[in-house]
Amino acid sequence: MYEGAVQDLIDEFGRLPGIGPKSAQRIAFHVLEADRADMDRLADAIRAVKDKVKFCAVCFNVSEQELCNICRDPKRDETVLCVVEESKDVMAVERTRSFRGRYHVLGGSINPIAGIGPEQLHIRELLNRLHDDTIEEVIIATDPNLEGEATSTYLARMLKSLGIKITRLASGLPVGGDLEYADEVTLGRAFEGRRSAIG
Amino acid sequence: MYISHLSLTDFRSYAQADLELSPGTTVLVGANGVGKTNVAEAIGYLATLSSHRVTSDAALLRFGTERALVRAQVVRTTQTTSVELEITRGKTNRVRINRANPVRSREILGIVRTVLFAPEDLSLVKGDPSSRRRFLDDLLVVLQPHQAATRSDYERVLRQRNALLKSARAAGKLTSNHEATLDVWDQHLAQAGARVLRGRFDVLSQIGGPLAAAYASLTDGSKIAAAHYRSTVVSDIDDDGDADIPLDGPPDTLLEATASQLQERILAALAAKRQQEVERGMTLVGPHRDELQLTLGGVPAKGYASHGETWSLALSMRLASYQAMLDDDPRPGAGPILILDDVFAELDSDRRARLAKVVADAEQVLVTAAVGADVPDSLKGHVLRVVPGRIEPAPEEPGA
Repeated sequence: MYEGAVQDLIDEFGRLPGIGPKSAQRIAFHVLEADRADMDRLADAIRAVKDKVKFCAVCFNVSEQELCNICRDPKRDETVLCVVEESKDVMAVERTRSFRGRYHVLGGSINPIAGIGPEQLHIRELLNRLHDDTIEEVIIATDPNLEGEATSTYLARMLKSLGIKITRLASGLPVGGDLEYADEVTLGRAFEGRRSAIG
Repeated sequence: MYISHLSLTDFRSYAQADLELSPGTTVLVGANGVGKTNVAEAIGYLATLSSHRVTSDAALLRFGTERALVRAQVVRTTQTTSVELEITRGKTNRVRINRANPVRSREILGIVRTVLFAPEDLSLVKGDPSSRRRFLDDLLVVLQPHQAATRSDYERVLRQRNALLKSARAAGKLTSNHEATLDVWDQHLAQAGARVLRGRFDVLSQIGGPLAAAYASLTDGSKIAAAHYRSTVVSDIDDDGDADIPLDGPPDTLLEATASQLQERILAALAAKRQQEVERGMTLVGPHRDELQLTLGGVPAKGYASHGETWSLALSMRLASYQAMLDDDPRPGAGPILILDDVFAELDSDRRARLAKVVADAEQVLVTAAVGADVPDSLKGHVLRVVPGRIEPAPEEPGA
């Protein structure tokens, strides 16, 4: 145990995701030895992110304004909506540059063990967005794990009656990979989701 | 198949042990507590990635060490494979196959096949339904390694669904929100459960005949051994595995159902039980509550079979899985290794002789015994003497 401030800092770092006690100690000593100006910038950045960044009132993506830059962009296709779990998933889809529609961030997935049910997610807000006829297709892009699949099933059941086209991202083989290295589950899914090779 | 070389480092009682083995029978003789079973356990671990004695890997490490190594040369038909399994305290186990880079331990499944007979097998007959479910599921993974994921998928869905039921119970009533979420988990549970059931039924159809044949060969043949799958999907089964439908009732069509039909059956059963499940806060229907009921001459073995019959039936279960593995890969030199851990001491001389006769055809048989005289003469192949922490060739015993 270190004294006062140093131990406090180690404890705080240790609470961050992916950082264990050893890394926390290493970062804390780095902070201690680093340039004052550099560390002030870090502190300011942390403060700024808590002060300025909010969630978009429409899609719940991170944003510095009332609406995020995607929701503000008039060039985006407003007839297609991509539903994701987290803001970082928005970035992932954006990097593909092949999706020109808008997003809806749920804020997690249905996970009873963690105490997260549909009421903790932004599902009611999603339904409100679908009330007028602007949106023609909803693409469900939740994670392909158990909780993501359950969330997808839940959404599909809720939205079925609205008469909108509902699609789910495909799962299967990674591009540029070798068939022989694919694990059984992924390969099995790829078989289930196969499609016609002609047109 | 057979293991030609086995090397243990910091595994159980051994700091380092090297063992040259050959096809045929090898008998490990030594006093109690010197480490005979540890050898059997190590080979069994290579085949199943689990121990027949303990559920946690921590006990496999030599006391005070952080890492154990089990190395083996396996000869299957004409192919030799070297495997090196590393068991590290608190970390995931890794395996190196043919000196390649280490990969996750699951890759080893299917390389070594064993059938292990041990005193613990009595629980296959006398124990909880869970030990018989585990028997079926373990054999399924041996015969179809990709099914390992099926079982873990099912367990994950089950944990989530139980958490939801528990929170519904805590809320005191089933809100429409709970109701809608529960529908989703029902669907996923039915999907995963149907795959587990289908796999178990496949295994069952493969061991039914061999089980009856094995029991007949170990006894005088007056009673016929059989295994009946009793599913919570079709009937009420209490915590002891007793079903509310009689054994001589009409045969259920469940065993022949396709996975999608099974899914429908599970969904229907879940719907019927929903109220009760919310009251108890747990999932009451599904493969995790099913029972494999064993019978002798039409009478349940559990509770009715004598001690000797129980032993014969437990051995028959293992012999049936041996036969299923032989049928699965009938090439010469591909059959599983038989390990008889401390089994002969528990049997009368008649059963000893019959068991020895049945296992004599296996390519490699490993026998452990505290007293050499317990092992029938027909199995006295190569004898190794185990002393604390070491294994050495036995001196020629007079009369052996």
